[in-house]
Amino acid sequence: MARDDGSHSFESFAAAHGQQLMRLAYVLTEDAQAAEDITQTALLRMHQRWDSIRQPQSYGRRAIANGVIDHSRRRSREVLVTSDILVHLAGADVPDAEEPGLAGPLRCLIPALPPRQRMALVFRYYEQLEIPEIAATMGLRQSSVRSAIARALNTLRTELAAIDRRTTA
Amino acid sequence: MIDDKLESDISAYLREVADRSPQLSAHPAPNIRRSRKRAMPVLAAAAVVLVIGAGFGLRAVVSSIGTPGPTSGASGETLGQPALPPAGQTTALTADQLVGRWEPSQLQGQPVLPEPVWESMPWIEFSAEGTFSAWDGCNNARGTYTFKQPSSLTFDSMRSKFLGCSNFPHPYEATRTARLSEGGLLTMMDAADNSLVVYRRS
Repeated sequence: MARDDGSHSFESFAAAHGQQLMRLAYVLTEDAQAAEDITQTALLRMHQRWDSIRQPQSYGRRAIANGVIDHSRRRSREVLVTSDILVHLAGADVPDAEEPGLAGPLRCLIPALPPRQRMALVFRYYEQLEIPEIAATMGLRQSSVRSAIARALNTLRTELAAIDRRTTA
Repeated sequence: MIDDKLESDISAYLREVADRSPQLSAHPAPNIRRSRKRAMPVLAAAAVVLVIGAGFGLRAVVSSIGTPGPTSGASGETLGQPALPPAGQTTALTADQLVGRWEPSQLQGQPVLPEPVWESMPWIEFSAEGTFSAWDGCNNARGTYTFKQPSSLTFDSMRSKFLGCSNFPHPYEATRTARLSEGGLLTMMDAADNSLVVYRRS
């Protein structure tokens, strides 16, 4: 069967694109264990349905998106632990939202976005997908995708401006 | 212009995150076979899909197909003495003795902790027809096994997915023999006769 990426076997697809899917899952979750689980599950489902998959890359992205949504739902049912407790337990390096430089503010602000907005941003600005592709991948209307991206950009713009005001005051 | 800068910053940030992504794990599973009746070519995909974590993570499923062993199933195979062995010794067991449900007691010499480490206590159950089912404390598994003289035990096929949770590592791949030991314990051993897991009757 002709496929959109020219791959004929699941093995060749997995070898060529497995790590790419893993990176996408990691960008969406920033959780290595969850990204691994989501990617392995996506590849497993693809393997089981390989004969009927005509667009493996699109299918893989959608499988990752669904896995991330499932993961976020599971996390929402987990016990809520405050960030202070986590930091204390892990001795973690706490990101500073007001740290100057490129990633400083964004590394706090982007993970804090609602899951749908964050996912839309990732598909738009990491995967460089067009709105129709993002809509198909996320199972949303194009208008919903545009709205999610616009809201996310607006939130980031507002928060960055507030940080800028505090640091220059 | 501000939005252009913001968008390029977002792209740069997301690329930075992606660059921190760990490598997708891979693990070959030479001794596990897909539980399909018709033979299929060996799937190198297993190397990508299959992951064995140290108790955590996802271990999926797919594996290579091999030629079934000369004897499949537990029924009819002989083997050894039906009586339990004296303390400190191991002995062969019969197919009938293997059948039933077992729960892990020791893993490589260390005691297996009970709940609440697991969602519920892990177990593995052998049927007389050569199939097994198992619970690893998080996910179900099922497949087929071969038991033949003298106490040779191998798992021929296994289907499961192991999601991120506390998985007990039933030794599907490494097990080559199984023997009874003190108190009716079932010890699964690898090719070098090292004890992998000791099970007790559930």
